[in-house]
Amino acid sequence: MWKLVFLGICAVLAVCVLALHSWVWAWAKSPNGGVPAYPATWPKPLYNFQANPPTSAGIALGKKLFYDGLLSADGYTSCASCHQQFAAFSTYDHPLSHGVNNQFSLRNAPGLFNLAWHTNYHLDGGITHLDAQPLAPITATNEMGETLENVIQKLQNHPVYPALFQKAFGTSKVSTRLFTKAISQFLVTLVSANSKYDRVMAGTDTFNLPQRLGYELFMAKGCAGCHTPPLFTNFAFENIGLPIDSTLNDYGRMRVTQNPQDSLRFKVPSLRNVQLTMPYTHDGRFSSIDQVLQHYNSGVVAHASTSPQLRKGISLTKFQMGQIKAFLYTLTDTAFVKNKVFADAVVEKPGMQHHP
Amino acid sequence: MVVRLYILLFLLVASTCSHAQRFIRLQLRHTWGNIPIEATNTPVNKAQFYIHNFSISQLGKTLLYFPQPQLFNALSDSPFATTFLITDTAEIDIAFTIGLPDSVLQNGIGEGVLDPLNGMFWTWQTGYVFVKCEASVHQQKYSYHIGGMAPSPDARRTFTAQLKLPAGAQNIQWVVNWEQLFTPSQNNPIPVTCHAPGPLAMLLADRFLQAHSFVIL
Ligand code: HEC
Ligand code: HEC
Repeated sequence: MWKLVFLGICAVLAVCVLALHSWVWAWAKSPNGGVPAYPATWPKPLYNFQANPPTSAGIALGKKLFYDGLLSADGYTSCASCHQQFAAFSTYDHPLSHGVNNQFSLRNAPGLFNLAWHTNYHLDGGITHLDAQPLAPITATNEMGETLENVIQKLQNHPVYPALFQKAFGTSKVSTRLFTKAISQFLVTLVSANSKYDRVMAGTDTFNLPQRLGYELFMAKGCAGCHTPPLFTNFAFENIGLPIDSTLNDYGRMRVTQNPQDSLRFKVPSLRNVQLTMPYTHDGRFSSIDQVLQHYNSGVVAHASTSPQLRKGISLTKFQMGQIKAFLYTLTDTAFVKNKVFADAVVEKPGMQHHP
Repeated sequence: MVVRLYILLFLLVASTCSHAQRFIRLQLRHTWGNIPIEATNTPVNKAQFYIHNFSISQLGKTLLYFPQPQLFNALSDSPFATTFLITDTAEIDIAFTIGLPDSVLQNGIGEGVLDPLNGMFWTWQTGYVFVKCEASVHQQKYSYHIGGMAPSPDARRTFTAQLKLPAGAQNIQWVVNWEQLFTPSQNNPIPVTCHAPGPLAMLLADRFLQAHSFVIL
């Protein structure tokens, strides 16, 4: 009898150890600590944690700032108004995002997760440090439309913020340096690594047949060359053969480098949570994954800078498209989008504008 | 930093005792052509620029060195001045780089001279404006925000000059003639605005390099 119980316990323990072994979250220990947990099989994050070690007070302050319309001219357009958690922090169902005064952003808002692995931000890579990122939407007239001077003054004169800065940074004096560090501390905690794909790779779950065939196609058809696992992007800038939208005139990477070879190149987006980040591509011109796959199959318009592996398109049958889509859906991290730790404490503010 | 330099200089004076030694005073002056920029009749509304790695050396020996970024505002700063000791009669080499070092954003957003509140930070793209000049010339408003470093075209420029100081000379003036930015060359007329890194910023960066000279008084 006892032998059986003992064996049972051993079996349970063995399973646990196996599961843990295959799904180890490296609690990376830097001398300052605070690096968010991530799977051991992932590369090291590139964000400079030494210069800005996350603390619970810093993360809490960053989250409050992220959800606060105070950073904008109209008092309503917070970071979160364009970066919605249920859509993996992209703007759900909007090709372009709404800014203050009913204006639109130039580009489709990407999801926000695994940002500590990027070395540059924006679809043209024009932002080269995560801490510098908030300044772009805050001061863009078509996004939050505010000045840095005003933001700092509003935070400094606020009944709560100075104390939160004191807690996070040991000073109640608000500065650009510190408020951007706080936002980064929150942003780097947004790690999405718990999709079905991750569980399958960890050996704790299995793909069904269409998912497995889709995965094999994804690897075989060269998708993984750009959308490289485990982050599902190689962070390169590529031209996938989308013709220019003549009203937006967005030439992508060339805007930053001024190099004609970079014309129409955009940062390879991660395909994690891609099911939730519709519409797709830099200007949101495709409303479904099917349309994106159709583009790869037959829509590529080759141009001098179009990626060589895409010049002739990637031929996909209807069946194969279905399988790839089934695989892409396994990249959805439901635990991430439902994680209350990342959600706003206040659900809705009175008078909050609703977008159509 | 400046205080430390003075102490260093003092120690230098105290320890070495040769007859060729003398102090030279270096002063920064901003002008519009020949007139001082503070004069009321200059057309400049805004004029500031960053440098780093400022050095003065003689026969390979460093006499003065400021590695860290400095921001000079032609219209509001008290005039920048410093002193250094020369020990030889040979020519002195002056060098500095207009713009900021690569490491400037390594640790996030900077403070002090690097605080974006100085109005020298682009926000839509990461990076600092190295030279900002706004002026109304011939009823035309010009606005130049000159900058750019990798991955954008690099608008930093390094100034170098050699000066022979005659015996008895004690003062050098570093003159920045802002009018130089508005001096067209044959193939390149004066642009009205430049607000982003790129070919225009490169051209204006070249022109601003020409704006610097060192004059012995
Ligand atoms: C008006 C809508 C809007 C608001 C408000 C907004 N963003 Fe964004 N965000 C966007 C768009 C659009 C992009 C893509 C911009 C581009 O590529 O040029 C973006 C890009 C980003 C990125 C880069 C992601 C990547 O993968 O490169 C980060 C990080 C980010 N935003 C954080 C923030 C933060 C923090 C705030 C608040 C301070 C904020 N955003 C406010 C629309 C918005
Ligand atoms: C040469 C590199 C490259 C290859 C190969 C490639 N992609 Fe992409 N993919 C990109 C880039 C770059 C974008 C973004 C384009 C833009 O924003 O204009 C993109 C966008 C997407 C999007 C839209 C994502 C979003 O959030 O907007 C999906 C889905 C996608 N690719 C799937 C695939 C699949 C499936 C394959 C293989 C059949 C594939 N890609 C092959 C570079 C590539």
